[in-house]
Amino acid sequence: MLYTTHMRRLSLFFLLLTLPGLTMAAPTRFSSPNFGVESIIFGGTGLLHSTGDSIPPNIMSGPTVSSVLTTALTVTWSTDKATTSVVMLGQVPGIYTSVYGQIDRAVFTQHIVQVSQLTKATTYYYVVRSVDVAGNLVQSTEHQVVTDPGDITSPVVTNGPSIAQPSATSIIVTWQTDKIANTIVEYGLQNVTENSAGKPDELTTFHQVQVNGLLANQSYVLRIRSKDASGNQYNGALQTVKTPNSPSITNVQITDITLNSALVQWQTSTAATSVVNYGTATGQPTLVQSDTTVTQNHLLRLTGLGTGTTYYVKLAGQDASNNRLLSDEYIFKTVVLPVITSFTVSAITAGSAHLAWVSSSDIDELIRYTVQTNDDPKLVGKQLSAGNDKLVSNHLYDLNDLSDNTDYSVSVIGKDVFGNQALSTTIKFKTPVDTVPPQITNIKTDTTVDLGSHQNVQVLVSFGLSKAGKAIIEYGVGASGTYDQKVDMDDSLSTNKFMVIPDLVPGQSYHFHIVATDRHGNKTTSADYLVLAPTQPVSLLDLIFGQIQSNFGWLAGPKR
Amino acid sequence: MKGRPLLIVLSSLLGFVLVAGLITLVFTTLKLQQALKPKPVQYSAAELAKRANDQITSGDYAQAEEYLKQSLQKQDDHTYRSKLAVVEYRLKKYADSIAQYQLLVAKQQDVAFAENGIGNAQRDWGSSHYADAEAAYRSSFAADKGYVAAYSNLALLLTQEHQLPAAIKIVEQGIAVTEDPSLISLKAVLSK
Repeated sequence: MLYTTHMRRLSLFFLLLTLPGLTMAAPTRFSSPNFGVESIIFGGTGLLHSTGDSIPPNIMSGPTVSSVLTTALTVTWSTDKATTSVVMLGQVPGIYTSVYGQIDRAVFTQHIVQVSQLTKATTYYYVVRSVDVAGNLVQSTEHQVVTDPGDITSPVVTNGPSIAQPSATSIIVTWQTDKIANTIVEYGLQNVTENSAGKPDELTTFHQVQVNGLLANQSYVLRIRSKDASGNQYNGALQTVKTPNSPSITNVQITDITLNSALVQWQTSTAATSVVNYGTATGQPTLVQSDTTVTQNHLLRLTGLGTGTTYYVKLAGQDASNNRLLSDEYIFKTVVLPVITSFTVSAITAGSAHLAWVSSSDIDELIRYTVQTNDDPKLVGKQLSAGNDKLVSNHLYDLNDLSDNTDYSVSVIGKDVFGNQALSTTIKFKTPVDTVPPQITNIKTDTTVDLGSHQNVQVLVSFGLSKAGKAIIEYGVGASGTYDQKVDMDDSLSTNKFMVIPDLVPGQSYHFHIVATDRHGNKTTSADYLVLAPTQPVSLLDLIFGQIQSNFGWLAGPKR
Repeated sequence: MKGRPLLIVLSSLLGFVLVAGLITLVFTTLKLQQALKPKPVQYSAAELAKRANDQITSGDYAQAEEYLKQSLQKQDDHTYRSKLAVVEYRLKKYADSIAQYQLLVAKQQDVAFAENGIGNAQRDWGSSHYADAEAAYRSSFAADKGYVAAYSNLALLLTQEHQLPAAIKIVEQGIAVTEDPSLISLKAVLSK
């Protein structure tokens, strides 16, 4: 009988341990409830100390729930004698999946049990149990309680999201929330859930995520997410962002090239640092100039360059996403100090000379020439100059109005755009004696009536001379014959002439030629020209009066 | 007779409304005119400098000077200033050109280039400025021993002042430092 009772007691004990929905974490030692079989406990199990008391405790007050939080609450009740303090709790009525409290010390009549690790806004069903030292148990009826829902408002985005594109392969998404929350950006080429970036464990109101490793020139769909401490989440609207083309270098310009410096300008598709690698041999940059400022418009001045030297330049840089940029090779040559070479004097005539020279860079022209010897001692040592401001490198210049039979020394000077000078060698040359007569060209005539006499007309003759000289017009009556009259009023040495043959008889023809003489006495004569002196124009009234006068001669006055 | 005061009040009110309306209309019209008034185009410093370059290319140095001055008002840039100095030199505004070069020197920007520019402007200003020109050339190659142009320009200035031995000495000094072929060529010219 005793054996049977003992075995039965153990069986019931294990039955209790394996009751569905009731778990007891080791090393909790839980007193066996008697389930109304008091004799079993009374027999003693060694777990509880039987005192021989068979009267179960009574719950005097409670159980009541206080301090209901989102994940915890407090259950209080009282018993009429010292008992254990156990709260059994679950989310389904009658099924208690969690046990809290003092289960192996029956010492309290006022029971306060803290229940934790609950889920917010959830209904729980619970009972309390109290077992006295004799193992007598009392269990309350089932009660229910709902945990506090806590903060149930999602974060609100107060600013943003804004998207910056520091490079072709990265974006920076920035937004702000009204309360602290975590920071997530979801993105993908097809679906927003393909990738995510951010700080899921850090709560902040200012959110910024740099998304790297994107593909250039692609459209991405993305959205932001921020979840607060209570699990309330903000899900942003879907957005599309297109990444630009891969970072590239464009609009390379090398300008303001001087003797020893050059200005290098370029643009990049994304903001990047500025590096110019350069050297005097292709593909071998030995020098570098850089600027760590990140910009899309780059400008670096290379200084300390060699004069007239060819440089090979490669531009580089690095953008915020560490993309490296590298350009093709560009070539420029610094300006050379102007040097005059190949200076020659040719086509020397009695009055002119042709100068030619070449300069290593574009320069203006200043010709200085000096009379070394001349028949006129006043001219010896005379310094003359000529030239123009145009900047060229191939120079041609004709010196005119030289004196014949004269020794000259000539040199040329030029200045480049910066004012740097170049000087040629000095060349001496001598103009020959002038033996060439002037040529008479472009002869034109016109006739006018001499208004003073009304009986004579005059012929106006204009012509040109190929070089400065004097001229006379010789003429005579008739289409040919001797030149027994002349006009000799030209005392000036000039090339453009205008002369008048006066007092010609109206209606009479004349022939004339021009004789021109240069300052050296070289003489030339033009071909023969024929002019007809016009008659006085007569009005109709004059004709009528003339006829009357001839018919009625007595009416006429004395003949003038 | 009883309605007369009311009539006066009403007509006063109407007059006030009309005057207020007229004032509002005038004010609105003025504001509209102000808004519709064409505003002058604002160019950036770089755009102005580019326009200056175009003018230099076409030979209009006066217009280029104007653009460069505007560029400098917007941005105190070394490149714009050195270009302005050159443009003013080309315009024979030697005092202005020298002032720009001196600003570059004061800011330690391309000193050898600037001092050489000062020398060229002083030289072309007239013989009374030759001493200043000589000093500037010497400052130029003191700032940069390799600045070939300063040796050459000083030598030619000395030649102009009939100091041929001194000129050749300067050229030799430059050759010793730079071995520059243009100085070697100049020495050959001066030695003839």
